[in-house]
Amino acid sequence: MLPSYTKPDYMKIASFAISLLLTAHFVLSQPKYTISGTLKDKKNGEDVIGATISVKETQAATTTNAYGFFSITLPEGKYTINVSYLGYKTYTNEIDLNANQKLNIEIEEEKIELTEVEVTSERPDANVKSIEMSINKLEMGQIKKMPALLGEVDVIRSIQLLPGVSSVGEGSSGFNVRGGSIDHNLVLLDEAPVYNSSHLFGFFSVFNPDAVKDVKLYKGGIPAQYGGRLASILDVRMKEGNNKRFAAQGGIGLIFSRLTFEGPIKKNKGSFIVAGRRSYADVLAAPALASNPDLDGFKLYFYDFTMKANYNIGTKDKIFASGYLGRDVFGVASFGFDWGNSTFTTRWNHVFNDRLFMNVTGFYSNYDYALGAETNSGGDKFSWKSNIINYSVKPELTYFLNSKNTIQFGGQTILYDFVPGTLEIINSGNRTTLKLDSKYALEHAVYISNEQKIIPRLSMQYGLRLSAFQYIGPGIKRTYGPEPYKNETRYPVAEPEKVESLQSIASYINPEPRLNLKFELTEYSSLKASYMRTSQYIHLISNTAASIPLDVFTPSTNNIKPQISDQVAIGYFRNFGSNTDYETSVELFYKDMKNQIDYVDGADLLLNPNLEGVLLSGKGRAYGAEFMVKKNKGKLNGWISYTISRSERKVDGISNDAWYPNRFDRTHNLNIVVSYQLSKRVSVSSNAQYGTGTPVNLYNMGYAYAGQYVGHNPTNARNNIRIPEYFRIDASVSIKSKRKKYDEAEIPANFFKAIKYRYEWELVFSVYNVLNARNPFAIFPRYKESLSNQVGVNYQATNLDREMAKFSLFATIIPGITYNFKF
Amino acid sequence: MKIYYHTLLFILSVCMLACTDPYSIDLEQSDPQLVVEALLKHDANLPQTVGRDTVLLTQTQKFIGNDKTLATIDNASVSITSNAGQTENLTPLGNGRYASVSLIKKIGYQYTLTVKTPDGETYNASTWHTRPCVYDSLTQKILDKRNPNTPAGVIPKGVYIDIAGYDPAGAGDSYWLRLYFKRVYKNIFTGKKTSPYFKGDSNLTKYDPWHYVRDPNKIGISLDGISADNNTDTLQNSTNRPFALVLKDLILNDLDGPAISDKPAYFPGDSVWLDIVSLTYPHLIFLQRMKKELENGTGGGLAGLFSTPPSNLPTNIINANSNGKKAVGWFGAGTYKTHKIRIINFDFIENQGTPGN
Repeated sequence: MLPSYTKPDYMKIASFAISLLLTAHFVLSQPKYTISGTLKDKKNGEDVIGATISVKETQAATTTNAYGFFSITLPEGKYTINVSYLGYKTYTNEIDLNANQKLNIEIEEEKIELTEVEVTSERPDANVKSIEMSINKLEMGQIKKMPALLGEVDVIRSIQLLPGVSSVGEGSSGFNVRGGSIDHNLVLLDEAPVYNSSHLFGFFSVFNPDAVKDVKLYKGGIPAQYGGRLASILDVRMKEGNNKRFAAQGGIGLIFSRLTFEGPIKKNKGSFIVAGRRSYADVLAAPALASNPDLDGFKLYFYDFTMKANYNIGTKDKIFASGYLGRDVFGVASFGFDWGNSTFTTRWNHVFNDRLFMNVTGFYSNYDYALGAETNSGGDKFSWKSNIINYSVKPELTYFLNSKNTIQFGGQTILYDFVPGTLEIINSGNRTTLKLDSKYALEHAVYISNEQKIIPRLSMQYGLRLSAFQYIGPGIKRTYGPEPYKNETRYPVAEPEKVESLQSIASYINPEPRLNLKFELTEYSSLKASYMRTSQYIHLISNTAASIPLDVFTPSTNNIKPQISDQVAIGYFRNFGSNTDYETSVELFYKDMKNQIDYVDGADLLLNPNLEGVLLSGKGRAYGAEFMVKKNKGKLNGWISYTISRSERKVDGISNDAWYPNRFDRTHNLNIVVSYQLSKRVSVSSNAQYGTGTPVNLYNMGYAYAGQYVGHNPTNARNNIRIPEYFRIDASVSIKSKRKKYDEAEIPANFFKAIKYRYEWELVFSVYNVLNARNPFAIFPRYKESLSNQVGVNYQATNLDREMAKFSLFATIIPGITYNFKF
Repeated sequence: MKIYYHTLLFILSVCMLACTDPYSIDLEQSDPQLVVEALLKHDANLPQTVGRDTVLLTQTQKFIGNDKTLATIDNASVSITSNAGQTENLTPLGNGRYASVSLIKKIGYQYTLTVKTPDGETYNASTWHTRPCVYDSLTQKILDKRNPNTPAGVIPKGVYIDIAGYDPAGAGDSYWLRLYFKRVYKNIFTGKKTSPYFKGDSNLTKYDPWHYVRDPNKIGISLDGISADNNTDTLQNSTNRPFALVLKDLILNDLDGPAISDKPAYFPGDSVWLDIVSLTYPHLIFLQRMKKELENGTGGGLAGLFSTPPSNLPTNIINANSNGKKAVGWFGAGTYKTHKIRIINFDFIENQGTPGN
């Protein structure tokens, strides 16, 4: 069934795309040949992503893809090939092109004798020259320099400093991109989705910084190869591992320690990397806990392992296997819960010929949590388990048609298995199992896109992604009465219907056109525009301010329609300075969202078999402007980003059917990130974050009922009061060991003997929240007599004494120290 | 989810990173609205009950504050009509109270409340009496440990109260378990002070009369015998199901707070009185929502982080003029059964150490 709101003229779109593709084929006046190959780092054999391969004579250029592969087709002739990548020596090679050529290049890191630091590996003028807009690439080098909570650098926390990215408050897991909810972000670790990217309720993210190679955030202009979420793609790619020699690195911090080991499986052929972390707050707190019998059996820790291996088979094939396994555990003697992600990805790169590159990815992803308690007399207990499992295959092909066109096409199929919850209660030896039915779904997509240089100054990337979703049996189909309905729980109008295995319960198809345009105004400035439609078929069910590990995902069903977003953005990009030292950009965006999910008042979402009956559906909109100034080079570097935006929704039955701001809406958002290299060994960095307060629901009136005092908001407006603004400054100092000057030849081949030659350390002192600010996370109504904390007297307490309270997380200066090492 | 919040709260306070401060905010005040609180009581042991009910009319007032005196409505005209054809005009008692003395109540009867307020608005509400549960008595027994799976010594030996009764077969039976508690200062058997537990507790004598247990956590609600704190509708089709232990433990055996408490709930001489009141399902949902809203306000700072957004409770008080002023509250009918018990087991108390804090 096709929903009525998706009625673009497919034929027009298709014929437009085909005609554009046809213009790509022009008559060949002279023989053409292709130079193709891969680009690697000479030091450790890692593939180099996003480096520029340019041809001096023709001004043609291409960039290496996510696997370091490139291909460029030119007429017969003599050429000078340049490879440029910031922080690396420029590679130049003269080629007499009279046949197709393989060119496997290794580039070498520039030995920086000056105290200058490069913090980006993008091509120097990528800000202006790349067709990409609304995309932020963060280098691990940059992330590692930022002051971090308790001295532990974190990918997700760093992302929150980018323009257009915010969060509902520090400590909340996840992030909001351009007014989208946190489930509007697709977080990919080596192409496999990670459903909960946080450890310890959001204080840290699941990505081990030592094992991460590259982080890229797409906020708009998402290429057709990606889909499945409305707002953003966070593409995290792991290191492949050093294929030249064994190496180790790690760190010892206050909260956890890290250790990474990497090395060749066979030199220059294959390599592996293994990284692990374990927190030990529970171990450190043990003496304090021992004196408190309430906390017997206290557990609080997390661990994670990241593994990856790759191997080159012949010259045309390369296989990768990577995995992540992480778990958070906490509890006391009678109660506990734990959650974790596991992902496993295999990939196969195949070069069919000089121009056709293929990557096939297969992945498995599982997010699960379990909750257990023994609260009753007589050995009774309950346990609850829930998970979401994905299996997927994703072939992607890139065809380097000629120097003006690069075509990408492929597809993806995902099988979802949602297990919303199994609750087991043992009551006086009687076992009761309450199982919510598993839900199954299939998501498919095919896509094609082309990046085309139309005239030298005008480039276009256009594509179409066609996505489809099938909610299938075995399952239960619930049918509700016709909309509109108001803000109250609905119940099925008929007995829920059992649907057999593989039978379709609901299906949806959505075409998702994507378009990016770049026009170079001058050598140093460009104008870019993009349009994208994205659709999302799975939904995070959560009505709390911060997402909790117990939140569940649900598929689109016959009652829950897929979310659809249309986003347009325009941007102006300008570089300044002799060496394009300063990058600046301004982007404006407008986003229109359909089928946004909200909840009836007081909806209970945990283990609710009638979940669809407490959901409401409405529309959303977000718009804003993002400004960024970034300095990548020199002793002083960093960025300033400022976002002014609004994110709202309108749902029948809520807030008197009027537009209301989202809980994470922040009008102003200013971030400053700076670091300064004091000497070769010492650097200091600081960041500052300012944000308008987010809106919350508050009562202004109240009444007494049955001895209780209940709050009431007669206006019925949702998110009616803004909490105070947010401001925080962090700072850190890093001291590095003296750089040892050995030639590779001097260093013994034996790994252990080489340690003393290679050992380098770094000591990082950090202070989080330097100003000791008590930044509010929420304002909430409170009864002054804390009812549950007064032992023995709460049966006579009264809650007639009421006030508002401000809750702050990290409401104090938090110092941290971390010792990092590598050898 | 109380345990969940407590554990989370604990973790954050251990880290000493989080804090909660009072926050002064000037919230605009809205016009007061009518609040109706009424429960027509029917004793399940009698074929019918006559009168003995009050309807309380108050007004909404500002949320922040500590007004212990409620703004009442005293000049309203209040009447109740039953589907047996009887209409009673209630007698004003003052302080917002209106008494019913002659209304005949029976299982299956339906009632309509009409309130005409002095400002000219007319409000209506309807409800009906539902069937009772089977509830024969309260029992007590000593358990060595609350839970044999926990390490010895953590959870003390204690007296635990149980309900001899069950929810009859059939779906949709909604109950409100209302607990009253009385603790005497002296052990009625020995004449001694009851326990080292009470040393220095100057409030004790205040507990002498019966106290309705008001802690919002202890609002006992059940649908078909199991706890109705969360959604339960898949378990509705029951056959004579005993009341769930989770529910009984929370209401009866966990007076002192979190379920991980190391203190016994009862001491010799304590008395407990438990009403099990059968309600209509919408009334149960009203109480479920009320409990959630109140717990949001007592869950500490994490209320802001992990609680659902504050929202208004439903009401069955409807203005006859749909454009007129809205009202809040609930007009309910309860078929109740009641039992009391006094704790007589006291041998074990001698070995009871001073509980920690």
